[in-house]
Amino acid sequence: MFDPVAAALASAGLAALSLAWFGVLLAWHGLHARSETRRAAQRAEAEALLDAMETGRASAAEAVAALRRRPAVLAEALATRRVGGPAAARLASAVESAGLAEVLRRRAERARGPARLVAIDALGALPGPETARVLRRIWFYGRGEARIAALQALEEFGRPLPLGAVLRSLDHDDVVASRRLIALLEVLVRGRPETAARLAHSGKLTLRTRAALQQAIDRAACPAGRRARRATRPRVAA
Amino acid sequence: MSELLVQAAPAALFVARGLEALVVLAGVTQSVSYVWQLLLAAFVIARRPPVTETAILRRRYAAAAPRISILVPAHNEAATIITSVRSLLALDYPDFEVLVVDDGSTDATLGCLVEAFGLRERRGRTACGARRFGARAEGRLRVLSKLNGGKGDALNAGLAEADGELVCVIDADCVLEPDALLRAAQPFIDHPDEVVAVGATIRPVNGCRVTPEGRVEVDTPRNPLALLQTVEYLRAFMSARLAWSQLGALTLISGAFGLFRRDVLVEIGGYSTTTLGEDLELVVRLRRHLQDGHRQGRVVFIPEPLCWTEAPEDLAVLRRQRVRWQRGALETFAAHWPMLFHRRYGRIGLLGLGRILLVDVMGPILELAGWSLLLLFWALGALSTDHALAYLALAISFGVAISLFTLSLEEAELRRFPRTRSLVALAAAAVLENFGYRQLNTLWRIEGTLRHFTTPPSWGTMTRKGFAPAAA
Repeated sequence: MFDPVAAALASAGLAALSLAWFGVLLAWHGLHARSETRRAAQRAEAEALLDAMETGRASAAEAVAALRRRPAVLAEALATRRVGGPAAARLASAVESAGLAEVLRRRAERARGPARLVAIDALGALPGPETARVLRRIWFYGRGEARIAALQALEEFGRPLPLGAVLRSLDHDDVVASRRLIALLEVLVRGRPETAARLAHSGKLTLRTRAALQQAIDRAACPAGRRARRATRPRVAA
Repeated sequence: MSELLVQAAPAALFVARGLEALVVLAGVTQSVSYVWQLLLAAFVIARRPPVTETAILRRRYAAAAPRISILVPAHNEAATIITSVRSLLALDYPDFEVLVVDDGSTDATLGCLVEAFGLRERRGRTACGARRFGARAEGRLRVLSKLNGGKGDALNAGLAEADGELVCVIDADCVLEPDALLRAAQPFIDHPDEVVAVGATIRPVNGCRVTPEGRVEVDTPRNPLALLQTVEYLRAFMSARLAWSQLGALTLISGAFGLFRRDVLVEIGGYSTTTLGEDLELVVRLRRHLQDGHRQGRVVFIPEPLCWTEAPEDLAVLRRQRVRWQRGALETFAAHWPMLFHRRYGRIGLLGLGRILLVDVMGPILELAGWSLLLLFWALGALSTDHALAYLALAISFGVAISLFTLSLEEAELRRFPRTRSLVALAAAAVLENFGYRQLNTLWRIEGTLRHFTTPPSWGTMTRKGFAPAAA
């Protein structure tokens, strides 16, 4: 049914290709392991610096100076580990004066994919008027996850957007359906419950946005009700 | 008599040639589908962003995380249940409960749980007559103890008691990654109106070390049988499931780990109690139900390994498992074959059920027929030794190439095997599995097919070794 010579050649070809591919795979593995180790060490160093700064063992300027040439590492460290208390303001001011905040803002606006999201997350740790402006711009003119990340960052450093403005800018975007957005709206609703109720009944919002707002109001108003709703005990039998 | 044989010989040869053509056609179709799966999986992985760090994921998603009930059906799992439950309670997720359902164990499963977690029996029984246990010190753990009724029945008992918006179904011998729930819940958070179920990659835990926090330090198994299964799992999850999920035709979320919307599971009546492949049957029935109602419902697959399971290390246990899987697939096909190629069921009917027909229903028979015909033709002199060897070489080198390319997908996206020697061991296993292991699998699947028609369903006994603790 088939030519044995052709089959033998094909299998030899496949074997050679597999072998060559496996060689490349091993080389890639080795190279990647090295770069991964280097990157992990840099991250650990960055986080140790942030720790030291928070506990007063290092100044913010020292910490930032050490990370001046590695904005990506700084962004990751800030996105994963928040500095709390008075050290947060010192860090923000040091990052700003070292010019790194500007680098992060640029990444937040212009980078693509995960790097952009991490930069936006990191900006949540660096409160300041310029950062707030950039984050607002991302919320109003960005798309998808970047918008939500910007909204979260604004909430985190205490400059949440007005609920009405957020809701009005929501239409025609898939983020409306996201639970993450509902959770962020919940925070806004807690701050302005009367405004939220008024907006929910104003008739100015689209159906989807109103549904999102209503969910946020439910969550904000009645955590006990949520528990009660999920405690129903349906009978199950296949 | 000999005259009769001479007269019948051309007819027999004609039938054999016809069968050969069918086997070759099925083999070519399967090979093409392997290549196509691999290419599609590579495309998906190339487009996926790198795996997000847990801390970032937690910051982004924790506030929106829906409550999850983890259902753990357990039958004679005394060897692993305590480690499993401890690792579950240590999961990194803001709002969850663990609901262990002891399905009439005859070993010390319940006793171990009561002693280890200080459980006390609560008043009243569940609707299905199960006893309830809880602990003051650990409010997130509940245990139900019921008469043996099979895995599906145990899951239904748990489902009726669960109060999470989502239910996570796992096997008692599994260890979840600390951030497994967070990662699996992400599609539900991003698209709550669309996603109804999420599955993830499952890997054998054999050879790995498990830290007290439930973190798995990955290594390849020392047991050759477990090593061969690791290659199989890699191919099944990194290539096949990823590709089928991308096509919207995924029909299986492994029973070892899956996350479902509770309301949808309740709506379809929970798990089937009469099939051995309750995980496959559930997803097919779920999709059928949604399509019947013209409703949206995405089943998402996550390539990250979120769950580690104990793979059988001896042939008898492995045989029972494979026989059971085969029977489960046939039972599911028998229950849902009207979906096959039916327009209403779209891709699920065409591709999902089509895959079950080609791979699970016809696959083992055609594979056995292929091997038998090869030997028969060679023995009768209808096939030269050159032809036979060339065919074998082609089949083996093709299988090895597919496995190695799948391994490279794993390395490109996940890199969960830290040691170079692990990759070498897996590559060696990809070659060795062609000499005996694959053929054994075919025989077990044939056995499963025969048993499907001859004996009533039974799970058989799984022997657990328990997990290797991590070095201090």
